[in-house]
Amino acid sequence: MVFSPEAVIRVEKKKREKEYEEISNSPHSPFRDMLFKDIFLVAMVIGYHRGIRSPLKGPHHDLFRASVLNSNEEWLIKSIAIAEKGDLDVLLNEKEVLKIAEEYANAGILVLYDIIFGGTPGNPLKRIEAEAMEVIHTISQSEEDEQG
Amino acid sequence: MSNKRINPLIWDELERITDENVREFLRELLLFEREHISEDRPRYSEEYDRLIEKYSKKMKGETE
Amino acid sequence: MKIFKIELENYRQYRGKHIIELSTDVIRSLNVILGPNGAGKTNLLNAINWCLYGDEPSLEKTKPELQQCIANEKELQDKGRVVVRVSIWIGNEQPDYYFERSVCISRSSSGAIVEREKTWRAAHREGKNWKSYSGSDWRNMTPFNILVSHILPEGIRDFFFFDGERLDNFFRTGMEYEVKKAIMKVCQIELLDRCIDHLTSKSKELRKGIKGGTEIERINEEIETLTKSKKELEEKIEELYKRIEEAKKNKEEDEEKLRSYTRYDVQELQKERDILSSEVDKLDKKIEEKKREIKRHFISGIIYVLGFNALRKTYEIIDRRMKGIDRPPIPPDIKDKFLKDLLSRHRCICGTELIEGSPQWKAIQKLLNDVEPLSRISDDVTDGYYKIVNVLETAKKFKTEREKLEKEYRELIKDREEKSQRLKEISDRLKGVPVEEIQNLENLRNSFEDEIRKCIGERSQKELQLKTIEERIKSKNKELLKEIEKDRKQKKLLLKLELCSKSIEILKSIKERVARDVREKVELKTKEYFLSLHWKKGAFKEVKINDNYEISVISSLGTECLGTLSAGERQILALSFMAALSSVSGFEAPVIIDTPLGRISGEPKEKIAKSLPKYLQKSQLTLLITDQEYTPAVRDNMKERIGKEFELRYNEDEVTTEIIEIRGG
Repeated sequence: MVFSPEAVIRVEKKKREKEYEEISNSPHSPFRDMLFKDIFLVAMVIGYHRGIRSPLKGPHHDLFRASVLNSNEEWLIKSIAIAEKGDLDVLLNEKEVLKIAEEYANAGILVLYDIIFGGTPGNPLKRIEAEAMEVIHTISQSEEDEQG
Repeated sequence: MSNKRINPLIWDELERITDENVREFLRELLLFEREHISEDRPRYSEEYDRLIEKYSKKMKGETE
Repeated sequence: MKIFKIELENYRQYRGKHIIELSTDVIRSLNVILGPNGAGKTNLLNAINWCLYGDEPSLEKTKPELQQCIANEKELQDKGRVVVRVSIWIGNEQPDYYFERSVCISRSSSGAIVEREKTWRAAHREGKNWKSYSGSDWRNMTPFNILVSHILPEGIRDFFFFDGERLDNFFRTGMEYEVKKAIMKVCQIELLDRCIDHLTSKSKELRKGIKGGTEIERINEEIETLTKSKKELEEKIEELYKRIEEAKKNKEEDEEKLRSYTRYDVQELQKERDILSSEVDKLDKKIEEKKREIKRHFISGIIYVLGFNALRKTYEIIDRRMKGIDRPPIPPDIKDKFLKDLLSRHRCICGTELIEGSPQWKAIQKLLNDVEPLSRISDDVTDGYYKIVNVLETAKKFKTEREKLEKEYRELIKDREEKSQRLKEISDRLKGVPVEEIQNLENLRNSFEDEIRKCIGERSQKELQLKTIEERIKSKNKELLKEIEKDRKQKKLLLKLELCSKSIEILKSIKERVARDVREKVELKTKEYFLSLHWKKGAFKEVKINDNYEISVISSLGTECLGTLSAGERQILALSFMAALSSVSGFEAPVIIDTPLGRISGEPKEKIAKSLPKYLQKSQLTLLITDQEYTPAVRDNMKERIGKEFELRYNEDEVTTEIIEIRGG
């Protein structure tokens, strides 16, 4: 299932106007001038990594067309849906797949915003990287355990 | 409907549109444009009006 | 589509009537038209272009004495009045299309050329009959042009009819613009653009028809204002582009004066500056690219690292299904098509009749219900499985790769700073030369450089503003639709507007994907052909066309070497690109190449001769070739594909060319 041409990724309108806008345009943001698509994906995985998901409330905004995702990015989104549901059947429901992604991003964008503008000292990218390192460390550990 | 003269990549993308009404609308539009591609400023208004009228009626379950 | 026959009458050096019947065989689809320079090869291509499109793109390659008048000079001299005519028969299994263009030429008493009776004819086969059109005015040729565009739209003819020697220029200047234009034309993006433009105009018209409610009118006005601002911004951006070009031109002129100044030290300083500037330009590009690479690497890496657990879990789920450990397996062990066939034939595989509603029927129906959805996703899931494997590996290498990239970035910055410092020193030294003219030139040159920098900054800002306005227009349009919805009388209008705006978005989406797909396919094919045609095996490892349509050729050592390719190598790259474009275009038009091997010497010629017809094997290929290009070895390599060979014999005294078929038929 490749996403249909009219499939769009949506966000809450007020988050588009505040969080996405600032993360993309602020001179202090390490994601300045990045595509909304990329910011969305980072928000989505942060939300997934922290296990927080929230339904979209209020008016929505079409952030980008699903057709701009490359195939690896498409599969990241699908994997999150599959992991969430524990089954491949979710792939038959494009709307459900996108909804799961949107809700993780909906929660994750607030975390990302806080990491960048929250006032904690240090490089925001390094902080995100540090969270990611936890994951890599855990994987390496379990691989060593398997081999050992 | 013949699609011989439209780039197959565009045609394939059209096939993937799940909204049948929009899909047919765009097919007719593209075939019209293809026929007139050699003209710098083709007369499109009448045909577009006709197709928009035809396919907007079919939106939300209304029929012609 | 193939050209069956071309008839020339008094066209340039082709005095009287001349007929060429090309080979249209499926296997032996190659036609060779041989002739020395000036014999009329290029004018044969010009004739075809003139007939179909009304112009002669390669006229400057024709001998000057033949350029003046399209009619054969000798015939005109002798008879005073000449009819020039070119006719072409084109088709698949048989001629299905006929095109003819003619003009009557005479000389007035003052010696001026007079063109009269400009006529055209076109016909196409419909079943057993021919449907014809004709006219006596070249300004009004719509049926003719429509039929031509069925075979080969004018926008893409340059990729099917081209001059091998001029291809060299394609990859020199303004390359990205030309490459993008070529790819856009080949994917018929113009079709999508037209639809988008026309739908946008219709939306504007429909919005004007909206009546009622101050709220609706207010939003309408806002959209109008924003649209006006958008247009102003676009004009401003266009103006900035021009100012930048102008300032670059002026700066170059000043530098040229310094370059050729009679003082040795000034010349040397400018020479050094030229080299450094070029290196700084390359470094700037590399730095920007490195920055983008670091950001891209971070974003693309981080998302797979943080999403690792989900990817891993998905991998395991798919793996278990592919191994059949979990049911139903992927791919399904019974194909849905097979089950559908059984039901439609009302007969089981064992031969038993299947009655609708019977337990056996229901059992098969249930199996089909289980299997059918899986079949839909099966290919995608299998594909995804392998993608996930690669992505997981990428995630593991994230940290080390990141450190490597950052180090490379720091080195580039250091190099750039050193070079910038040196450039400043050069400028100071020039300003210190005790000659007023030099000082003025240098100051002027610097002011142009400042202007360029300022305009580039302003342009970036304006482009960002443009993006913001476009978003706001989109948002206002949505607001408008909502307001209209409240007014039931406007429902019909609302539906039309909704249809238009939804369609516009979908078309944009299709445009993005098609452009990307075509670019990727052209990139792959260009690389395949180039690496195969090039005589130095293993010298190059990659040919890339990035998102900005910049072509790069990467050597086996990993260095970018487009700028250092020889003329012959550039020609091979260009030929590969053209072959890739025509193969990806989806059009099966005949290909005609004038002087395909012009700049290539020795053994590579034979290689190309063997490979080119293979790459273009789906098309009828006609090569207009000189005897220097058409060596016995070259001929030998092509002979399996040659359908017919012709020779052009030019008679200097008579100023006329004969076309002789020497082999084939």
